[in-house]
Amino acid sequence: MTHETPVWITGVGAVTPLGSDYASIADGLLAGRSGVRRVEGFDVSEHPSQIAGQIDRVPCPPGHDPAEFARLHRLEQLVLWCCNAALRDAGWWERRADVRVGLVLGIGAEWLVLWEDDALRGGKRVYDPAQDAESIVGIARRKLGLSGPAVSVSAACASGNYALAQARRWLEMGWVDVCLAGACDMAVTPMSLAGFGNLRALSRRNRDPEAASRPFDKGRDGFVMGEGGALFVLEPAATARKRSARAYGRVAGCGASSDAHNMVIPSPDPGPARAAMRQALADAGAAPESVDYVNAHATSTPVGDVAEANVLKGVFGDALSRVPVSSTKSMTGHLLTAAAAVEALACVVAMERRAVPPTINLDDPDPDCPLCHVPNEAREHPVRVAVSNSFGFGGSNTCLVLEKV
Amino acid sequence: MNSFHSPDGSPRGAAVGSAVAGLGVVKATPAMLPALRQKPGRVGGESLPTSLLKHADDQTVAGIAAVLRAMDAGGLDATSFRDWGVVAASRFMGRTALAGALLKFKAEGAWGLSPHLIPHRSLHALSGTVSQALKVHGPNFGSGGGPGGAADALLTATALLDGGGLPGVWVVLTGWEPEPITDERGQVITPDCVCDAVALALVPPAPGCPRLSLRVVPAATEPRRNGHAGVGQLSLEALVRALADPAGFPTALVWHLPLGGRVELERKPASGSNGTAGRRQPGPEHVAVGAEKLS
Repeated sequence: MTHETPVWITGVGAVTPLGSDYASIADGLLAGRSGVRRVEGFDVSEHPSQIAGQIDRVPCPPGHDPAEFARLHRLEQLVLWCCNAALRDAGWWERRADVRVGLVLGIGAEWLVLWEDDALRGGKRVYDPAQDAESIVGIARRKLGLSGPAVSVSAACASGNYALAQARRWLEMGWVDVCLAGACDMAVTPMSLAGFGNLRALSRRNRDPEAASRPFDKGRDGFVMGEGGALFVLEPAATARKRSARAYGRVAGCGASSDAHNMVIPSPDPGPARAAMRQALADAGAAPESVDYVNAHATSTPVGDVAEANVLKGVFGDALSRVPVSSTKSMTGHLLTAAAAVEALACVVAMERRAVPPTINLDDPDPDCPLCHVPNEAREHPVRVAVSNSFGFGGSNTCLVLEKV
Repeated sequence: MNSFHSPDGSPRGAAVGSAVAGLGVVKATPAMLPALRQKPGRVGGESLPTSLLKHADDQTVAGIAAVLRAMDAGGLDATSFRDWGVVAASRFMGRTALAGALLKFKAEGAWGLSPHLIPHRSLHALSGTVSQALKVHGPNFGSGGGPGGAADALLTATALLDGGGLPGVWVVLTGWEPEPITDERGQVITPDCVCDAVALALVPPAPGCPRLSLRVVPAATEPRRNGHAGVGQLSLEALVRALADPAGFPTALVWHLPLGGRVELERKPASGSNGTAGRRQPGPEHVAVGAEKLS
């Protein structure tokens, strides 16, 4: 199979600060609703940033024992819910044993999160390697009864795009018949919040949580952490057509590059990020002027948003004034490892609902980010080709192109 | 319908081959790591900056050393890696660092937490550092992270290389054996722990290609070829054991992937160019360069 045999998204499972099913997430995004609030669950009084887009509770998937599910770590709950929901949505749940279902899971700091959570509850897991016998991706494969290969990938905040690209490749190679791909993160923990806070990357607008994440706005002062995840079911178009499956879109193009500059600081050279975008567009066979929506990485940091605007200007040229650009992190916060997957979902929403989700809190656009903004309210707009940028620690630049089917 | 049936009738997944243009193995004790951190080595005739590894995890330090050894063994010193990719699997990265950070967090609160912990101790850290060291502008990502990470990395790297767009992919695998454990004062109390690292420079297979080839067979779809010695399940330790002793390297090695399928590493007779013309041929004899214990 090659790109001539397209790969479709036929199922979605997600939990975000805006909801835990497709409809509520889509409604929240298009309503311009913020999921950011003061952090609950641990004391943040000494943290520089005290706000986040948190998840109250991960729903228990049908068929699971609620009491047993409640005992699992929240990250494991999240992965199981998203995978389960995606397979059910795609219509594969009951038939998953009949096909090779693979799993490519973006998950970045699994062990740090598990060890920290255990230690803060009085455990000693970090001192006892025997307790670390199985990774979450392995647990998920076993509990979901998948027969295909399952791996984890991480490029920090770009992980979800790598997962989708890898899953599409597996389908093209015939390694799997159906593949779950996406990313999850539950990084709003005391130590992560402190670590990013001490990196001076987070917003300190603690008194006004819903207004804190404001990409492209002159008043932005850092990103707001978020948690959640999204998994997609990918399958060959031929398979989906044969079973009359609903298609959310085609994974049309993927691009990736590295800055080779710094582990944390984005390269001042826009070349590598532009290369990732151009690679993805070429892979999709899409000209820049054919793009109907760009979901920007834009995290609401002073430096990063300007850098991305510069990247977009180089790729789109004059067409940039006509292509709507928004950052849904303004509503969800920055979901870190899960960001790319959840923003791919935002692109799916834009295609399905024929409307571009807004950048909320964009009251005073930064003149150094001269883009076709969608400030504060969704814009009705048919979206056939959607682009999602995601950049991450380690100098990763990725771009995903989705196309309406 | 069996579990490997394709509903659309398409053929089952094919095996994917690649050539190994360079291979390096490092076994580093804790006492050896400070020197490697301070003077990582040279790439393209230039010394890597000391700042590269200042905040890096020990596994990243060992991984970079393995990459440099693979470059040396494969005669890749003058190669441009600009368009290559990097896939790295560190195992349980950050355990001792997090244990120390927990103590500091408990004592000092949020103020005491290092901002370097997350960027340099998460799964992306090793691949990101390799991309910086070698000036790789292609894709870089981590894979695995826990038990079974070697298989994750080889599956993802060979799929990446098979996509056809890259001239090569670095695969870097690291982990401690045994896992270092700290006491509740933050001191490592595990005796004789060694940080293992394996670096493989994978390139697309070509006629007359390097004398080592690596093949990933995704499922039990093909019978094993005669002469392939089975050595159990794929792991970092299995690779280190097999590759660190060039004298004992058989014609072919086969490891089972934890989730089905297998990985085959095969030595071929010496012949022509390896695609990096003018450079030394990698082969088992060069494994010795990377296999000696650092001192």
